[in-house]
Amino acid sequence: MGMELQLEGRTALVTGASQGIGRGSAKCLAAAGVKVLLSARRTNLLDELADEIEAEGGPRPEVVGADLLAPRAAYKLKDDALKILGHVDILVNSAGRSKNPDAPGNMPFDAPDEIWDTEMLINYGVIRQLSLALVPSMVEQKYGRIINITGKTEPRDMRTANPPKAAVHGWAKGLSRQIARHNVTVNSIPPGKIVSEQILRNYTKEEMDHTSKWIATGGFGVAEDIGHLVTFLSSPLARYITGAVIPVDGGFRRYAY
Amino acid sequence: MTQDWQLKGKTAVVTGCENVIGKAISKALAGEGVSVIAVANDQGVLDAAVKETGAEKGICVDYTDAGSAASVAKQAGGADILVNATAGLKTAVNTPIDIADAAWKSEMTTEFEFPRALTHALLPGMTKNAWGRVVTIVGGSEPYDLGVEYAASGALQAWSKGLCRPIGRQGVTINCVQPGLIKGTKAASEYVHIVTERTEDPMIPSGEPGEPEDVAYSVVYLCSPLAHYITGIVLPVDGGLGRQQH
Repeated sequence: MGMELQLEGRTALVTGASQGIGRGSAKCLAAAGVKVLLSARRTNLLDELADEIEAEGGPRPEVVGADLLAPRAAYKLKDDALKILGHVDILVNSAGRSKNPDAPGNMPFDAPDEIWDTEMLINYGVIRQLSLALVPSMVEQKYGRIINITGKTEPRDMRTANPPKAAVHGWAKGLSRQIARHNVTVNSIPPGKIVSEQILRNYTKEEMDHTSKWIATGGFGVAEDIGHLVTFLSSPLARYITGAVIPVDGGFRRYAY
Repeated sequence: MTQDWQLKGKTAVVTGCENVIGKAISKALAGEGVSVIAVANDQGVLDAAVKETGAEKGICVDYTDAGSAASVAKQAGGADILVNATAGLKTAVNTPIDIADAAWKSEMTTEFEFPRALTHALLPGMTKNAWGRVVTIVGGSEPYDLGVEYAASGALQAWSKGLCRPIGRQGVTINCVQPGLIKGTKAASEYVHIVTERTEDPMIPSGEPGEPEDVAYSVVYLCSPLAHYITGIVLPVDGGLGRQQH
């Protein structure tokens, strides 16, 4: 007998679902029969994605607009999600960014606090708030899967994204130990170079070719490469995987363990 | 809704089939339509494992013999998938510091040198086909005491990471799966205190040892074409047992 995902009828909240990895994760989950609530700022893109998923035969997703940098946004999104979906089995924390669009990539040491505080909030604080807001209901229903899309932990230079994404890894590991007995798992996926709107904005063609030389598989990945793993981790098949950091990067990172 | 892991018709060699983990992996791969060759070091155990798992056939080998890896590769005649699962076969708690060199080398050969040599022997066929999967079961990264398994585990992880680079562009991935305490293994019987102590705040956050199938599902996932962009990683399947956070 084959290995079944057993995800039909489950529900998922996916943040950052308008593009990139969030979008790819939502598509893969829906293809496995999950009812997905798509969240992002740009609801027009979410509506388009909902149409696309429905046309491909998945359960029609719901849509909710959210600007996660607004005050108490995570708590409002939790309330919206429980109201719209009834309950949440799976949370994919995909909203985040590798850099503040208004700040330089390589941060000067005297950069203002405001930039650091904002990036810490969007890449770590909101993930912690939203996850902890949903954990009690996951513990109660004896099923929960929290999957954080993070980033590599080998800083090339002074990037605002590295400290908060490492913070997510440490926090997720601690949380995983508290809630594992209730069949709620918490895992993090640091993606490598995945073709997305953000990457296309930040990389020239020459830079992509140069970076590809350092990727073992020889090129950039696509959002679905992450989405398939998100779907596997969401399944009962992966119940014994928790507190893990699982790179999907074509062999980009260097450290062995 | 039936998930297609796209493995039908592939061939696999699975070592360590004297252990519950190797057997569960053979069975899970066979369940996806993979033609499995099971490998173990005892003919009677092997015959039973082949029957139990639905493997196509078995190869009996003494892992510590010179040329054993080359012999297995030759008898198998190539494979799309290699699962190295000889880790932990000889785990012993509190290895004495005056352990005889021969004993250390024998275990290191079983757990590191044999899987390394077998992988290198089967890789040319995989790169020629522009498709291949190597998954190696490794021991813990947090030694509880002196044990050859920990040294072998470190060696396997560093070797696997290095090897992912020269073969990555040929459609071959190589990854490690790191089980925690799994029911029916030698380690689970020797580290009983980890399971039974601290019941209020258990050492295993999930609360109990895992099933061999938990490990097997992850191996099947990594072997699937869906996981083509995952290479050079170490995936813990341990119910949260390991403490390292990255």
